[in-house]
Amino acid sequence: MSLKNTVTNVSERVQTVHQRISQHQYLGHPLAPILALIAVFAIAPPLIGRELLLGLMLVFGVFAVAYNLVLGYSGLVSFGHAAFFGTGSYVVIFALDGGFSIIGSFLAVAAISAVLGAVIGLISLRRRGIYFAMITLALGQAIYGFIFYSEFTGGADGLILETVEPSLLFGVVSLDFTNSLVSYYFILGASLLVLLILYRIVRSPFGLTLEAIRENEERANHLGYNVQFTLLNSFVISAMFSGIMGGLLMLLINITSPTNAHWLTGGEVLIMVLLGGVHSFTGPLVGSVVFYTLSEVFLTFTDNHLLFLGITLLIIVLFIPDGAVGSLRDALER
Amino acid sequence: MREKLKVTVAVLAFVAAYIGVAIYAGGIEGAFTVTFLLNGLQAAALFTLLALGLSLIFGMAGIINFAHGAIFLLGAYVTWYVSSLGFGYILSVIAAVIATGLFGLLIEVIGLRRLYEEDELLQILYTFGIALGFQGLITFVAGPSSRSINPPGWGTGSATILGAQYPLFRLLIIVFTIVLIGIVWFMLQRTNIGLIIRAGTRDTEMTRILGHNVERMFTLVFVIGSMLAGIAGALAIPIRPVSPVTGNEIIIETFVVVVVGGLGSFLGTILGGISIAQILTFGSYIPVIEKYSTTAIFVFMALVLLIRPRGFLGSVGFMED
Repeated sequence: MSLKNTVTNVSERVQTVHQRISQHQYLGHPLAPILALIAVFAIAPPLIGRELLLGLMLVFGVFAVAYNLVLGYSGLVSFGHAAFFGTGSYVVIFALDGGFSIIGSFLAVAAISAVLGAVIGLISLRRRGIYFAMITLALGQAIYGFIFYSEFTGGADGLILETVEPSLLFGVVSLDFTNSLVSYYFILGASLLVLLILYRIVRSPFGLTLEAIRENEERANHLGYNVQFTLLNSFVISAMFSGIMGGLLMLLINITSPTNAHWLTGGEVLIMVLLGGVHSFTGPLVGSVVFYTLSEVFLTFTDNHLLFLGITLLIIVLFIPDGAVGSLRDALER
Repeated sequence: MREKLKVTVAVLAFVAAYIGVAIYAGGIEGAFTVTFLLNGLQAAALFTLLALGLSLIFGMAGIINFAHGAIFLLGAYVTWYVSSLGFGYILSVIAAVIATGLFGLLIEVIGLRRLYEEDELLQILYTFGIALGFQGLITFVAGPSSRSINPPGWGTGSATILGAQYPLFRLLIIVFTIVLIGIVWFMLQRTNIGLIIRAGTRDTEMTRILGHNVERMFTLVFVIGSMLAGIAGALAIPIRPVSPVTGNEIIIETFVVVVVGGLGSFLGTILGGISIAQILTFGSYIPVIEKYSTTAIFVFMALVLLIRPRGFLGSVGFMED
């Protein structure tokens, strides 16, 4: 091919990229979809009620966004994230019942799930791909087994949050968590905060390094990035926020059981991410909304939850592998 | 060869030491030691059958089959259903093998075949979807309660081994598994098909260029692996109750076996099966571990990975990433 041809080719490609970028501008600022979604969540309860369902969508949706830091951004399939989520729910109950303030409790959750994430990450990141999936699954189940067979965690029955008396936030605002609307809006605020932090992280040089590693680990390594350390960081951050979301769930439903730490709970979140699209920041949250809506419809016919999950997953994999948001974006780009 | 021997000796020594601790700390006496050892071997037989199928499929097609537990479940339920119709145990097992072979064929032909060239995430998710859906389907069709059958008449007696009375049927499971492993080994090492399969695991492209239908071999291996899982299910249901959740529980233990043993290694898989089964069996007699014995195997896996990331006999480089 002559040089001239090559140059024309390149300039054509640059033009296409420019077109794509300008087409995306209808979305305005990249943060717009997040803020729009949160706004919908904020005005929904007075309009349709059902804070519980909305709260679940929100908690699991943000959990899915945090999980996607490992799945979508780092390109690693973890089946062990439910362990962090579950642990978070238990730690919040112990901390609140132990007299910690609400902020103190969540700091404790963050610390413990980060440490747990570091331990599991250090072991499982010794391998990649399929091995990583199997090892995270096994280690996650080890934590599930520990919770299930221990007495101080209430065994198979789980624990109930006893202390739901009004708590002080920063010593200023008094929050009454017996009121489901107060809990809901507290979770909404916390979710927004978590989303903004995660957004900042994926847009930082660190987030870009993650994507570079996902695309070509060897090259990133040769460019001088500390691949192992970067991946471990992303795993720990993801684990920490997963734990925090598990803790927030307790403000919504006040009861936890080992199921929250079971790998199939993690599997559900994986399905949410896929429904929404792996390669999108907001996708997983949309996926959670779609997931719960579908599940509401499906479960009116039968209470067989797993059949629903399996069928949904097979449909996604065989027909819309890029997820709902991904497919929508593809359609818009064409 | 030397390394293989060294690893094998080291693993067996560790397992022996572990069993020693359990016998000493748990106060296990005389004939009970033999009984527990045989229990461990019988569990190892089932694990090895499952792990062998998983490892074969992985070696050939590079796919980790999350639906392997579902196939085990199908084997167990078909055996239960056919026996409940009044047919003998052997006929039920044959029915289970045929059913799981067909199920494997279906999984491969409908979806997996289209996904070989795709991202491995999609392959994991496809088989994961089948695993979830099938557990739901079995619950839907046969109810959530657990099922079991009585061992067949010819297997109800017991044999005396080193002073221990041991159920004949469980002994037969161990013997049958050893024979079956021998057959698979013979097929892989000494037949033409085995040669093509092994060539396919080494270098798919080259095997294809040499004029072999690699796609058909993929399907064949998937069916054989599924049949092994089906046999494991059929052998398991007379000795332990099986419920819809069993499939997705046993798949985790099987994963631990293959990770510890090293995927794609024949001897490694057997070693993995034996060590995991004995750790599970004797774990409940070691005071500190006791109720966490199902968790102990995960700790063991973590230790193995820290010392030797590729597992006992996994090859260096092969699927390191």
